[in-house]
Amino acid sequence: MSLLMRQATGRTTSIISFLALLIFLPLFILVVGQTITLLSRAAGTPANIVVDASSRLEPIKTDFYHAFAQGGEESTDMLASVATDIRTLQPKIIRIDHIYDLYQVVGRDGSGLTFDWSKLDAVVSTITSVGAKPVLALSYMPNVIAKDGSVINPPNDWNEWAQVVQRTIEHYSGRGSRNLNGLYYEVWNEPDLAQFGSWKLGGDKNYLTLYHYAAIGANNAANTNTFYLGGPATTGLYKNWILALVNSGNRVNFFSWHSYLSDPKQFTTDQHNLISWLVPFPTYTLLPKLITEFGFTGSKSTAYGSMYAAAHTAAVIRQLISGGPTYLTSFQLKDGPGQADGSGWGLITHDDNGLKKKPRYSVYRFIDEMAGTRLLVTGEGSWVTGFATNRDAVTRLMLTNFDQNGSHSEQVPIKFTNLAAGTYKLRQRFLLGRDTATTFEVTEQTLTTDVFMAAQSVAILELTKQP
Amino acid sequence: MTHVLYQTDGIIFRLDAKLRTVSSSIGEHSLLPTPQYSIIMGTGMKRIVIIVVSLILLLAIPASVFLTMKNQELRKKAAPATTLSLTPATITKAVNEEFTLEVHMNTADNQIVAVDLNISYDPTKLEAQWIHNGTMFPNILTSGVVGNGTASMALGAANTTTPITGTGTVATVKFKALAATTAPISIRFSSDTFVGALNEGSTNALTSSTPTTITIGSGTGTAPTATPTGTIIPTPTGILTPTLTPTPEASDSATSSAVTIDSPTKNESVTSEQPTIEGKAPAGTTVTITIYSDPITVTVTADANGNWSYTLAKPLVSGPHTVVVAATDPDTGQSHTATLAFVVATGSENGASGSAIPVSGSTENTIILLSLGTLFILAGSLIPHIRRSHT
Repeated sequence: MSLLMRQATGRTTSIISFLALLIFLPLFILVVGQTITLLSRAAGTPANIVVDASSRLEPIKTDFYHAFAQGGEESTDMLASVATDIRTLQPKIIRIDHIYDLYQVVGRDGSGLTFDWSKLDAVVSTITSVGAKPVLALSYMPNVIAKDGSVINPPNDWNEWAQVVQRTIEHYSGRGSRNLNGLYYEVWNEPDLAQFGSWKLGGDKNYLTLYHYAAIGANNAANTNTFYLGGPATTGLYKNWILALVNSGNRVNFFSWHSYLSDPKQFTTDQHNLISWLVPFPTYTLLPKLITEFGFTGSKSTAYGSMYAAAHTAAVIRQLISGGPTYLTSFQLKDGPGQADGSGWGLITHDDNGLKKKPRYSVYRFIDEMAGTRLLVTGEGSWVTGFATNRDAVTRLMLTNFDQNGSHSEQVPIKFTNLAAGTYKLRQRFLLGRDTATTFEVTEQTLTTDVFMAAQSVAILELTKQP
Repeated sequence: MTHVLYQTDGIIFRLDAKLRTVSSSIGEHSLLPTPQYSIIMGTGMKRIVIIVVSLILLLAIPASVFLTMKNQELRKKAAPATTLSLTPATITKAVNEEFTLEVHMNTADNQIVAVDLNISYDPTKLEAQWIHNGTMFPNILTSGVVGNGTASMALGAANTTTPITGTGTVATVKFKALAATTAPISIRFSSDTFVGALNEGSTNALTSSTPTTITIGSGTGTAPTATPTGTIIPTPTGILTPTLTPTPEASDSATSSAVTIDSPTKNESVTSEQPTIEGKAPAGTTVTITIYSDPITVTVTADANGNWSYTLAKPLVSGPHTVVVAATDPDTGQSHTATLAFVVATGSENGASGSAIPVSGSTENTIILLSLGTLFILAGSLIPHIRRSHT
């Protein structure tokens, strides 16, 4: 500084000082921000798990997360080439959208609308062949009835939209046709998103009008099995959309929305919010609730190809294992083309990329091992969460360490209480990892151990009393 | 002798009794021969018909009135009447001691579909460890969440065709005493606890709740043990007989320490669209007033004499309304709720009936309509007879 002051004019010194300030001030703010982030990350609570082995809560449901979606990546029967792998997932439902625009269902001739189900039928047949029921997102507007031919526009004649919906339901739920029972028909897909029309709750592109005429079509459908009509299939859970549907007076058989949330606990918050909105409407409170797409981000990400996605899925399932939705639908089954960098949402890579299974593919069946009656667990932490069950006299504890920021690991103390005296085998199985077993002698009702949970890991501890 | 029988579209029908013909501007028409006419419309037969019809009407009118009143009574029975209580109502614990509370519900005449349960406590004195469903509600709508001075859980019936009725345990909450208290503190239901019931619309069926009052002694209690005091085993029966401290029962009439609504009175028809609602509550308490069905929620403070009042800032629509008033006694921590139905009878579009319970008709209208119907039938039966007697 003294050199600068000796060899430069005051004006030059001021300019240099100003430039230095311009450069270093943003850097300083960045460093402060990073420090705060790191400090806040470290401020979480480590887990200290206690499992009451003698408690008995409710039987857990494992069906709800065996739900999958496939986006409109290609206008072919994308799932056919991975049917065997999908069947292994034991899916209960598989949701598809783009059913009208990708598969050219609706046409027009001199006498009115015509319907060609052949391409969509092929996709639906693949879905039923793997043991699942299709969930059909009634989207998008067939171009032959749409204003300006745009598939995200309203129709020129709303009655034609009602007719399209009626014929769709009669074709798949009709006793004289495909004869499928218990199908969900979801009105549109992400109507609030500009990409899919930016529908509002009023104005020219009113979702409630779209829904109203879909409901007319559904009510006109004749000779059908039981089916469900619902929505609004928005990009998130929005109170005004849910209550608008409730207050619309239209037929509503289920509520649906999408959840792309990196914080698993937000899924619990959403459930609480939804029930608090619906409880003043007793005839709607108990309707099925479907998260028809979920993930940690709606954007493409290479993390979908890593253990990050698997741990996130396990953490979300843990949050919803009690009091969860009817279905939690993972998006999506298979990558689209051109995603060789691994950024696709799929559980399985595209045909062009070898149809490889990503870590998330394995998490569903892994957690199925937890089927049983839920036990009392306390001491979950900010990163490590879990739940416990008992089935066939075996106590199981599922743990997942999911860190949104990607690096937290933890040595987790674990205590099983209220055990009968005797010898126990404790097996530790990690998703796509090690599988070890240790023998313990329990004399005072308690077994204490610990387990190292690496970042983004999922484990099941299995405690079996030896004869 | 001719009589004008009927006139329509410019055609006049006349009866010539002597010639037994009916003539009109478009021709002449023969009547039936006298013997046949007498057989069909014989005077004796006609009297019997009139007597039978009259007897039927005499029975039908009181029966209709009775059924209408019964229907209204049933509707009134479905008014909000559900209560929640935490048991035991009073406990004393030492620091570090753990204990469980049960949430009991009495549905009274309500048919409960779901309950959104929110319990609040002082987090500096207590820590909630978990909350689980009891035996009364089989359907867990949201998982139990504890922390930051709240314990929450939502529970439901299996479906709307089998709503929950009766009494039982909704949930169990486990606490740990953290610090000594200088005076008793309460664990209570938050104001956003909501009970949804069939036939109640969007009205909260919960009318009152009873908290637990706890005193935490300064001495250290039993150290936390890993061994819970009991197991939680749901039983299939829906009704549970509490064995703990008896729960104060909800009462229709507010006690001196409870909140009351003195004006308007029950089912009163008020002529103002912006009525003043008045009542009593413990002096100095904050009184939350909610007016349904388009919920309007305001808070007022009871004065030194325990009086509170609120005049609606915006007009209410003509028709039935329900006002729910809630206040928490600062001394006991006990929550009190009072519910009252009244009618705004200023407009004519809703045809206010004087009852806060929406009804599809009224006794008076039924009687008037039945009476008119009776008159028409009697007139229709008697007129031919009178005419014959004139011939």
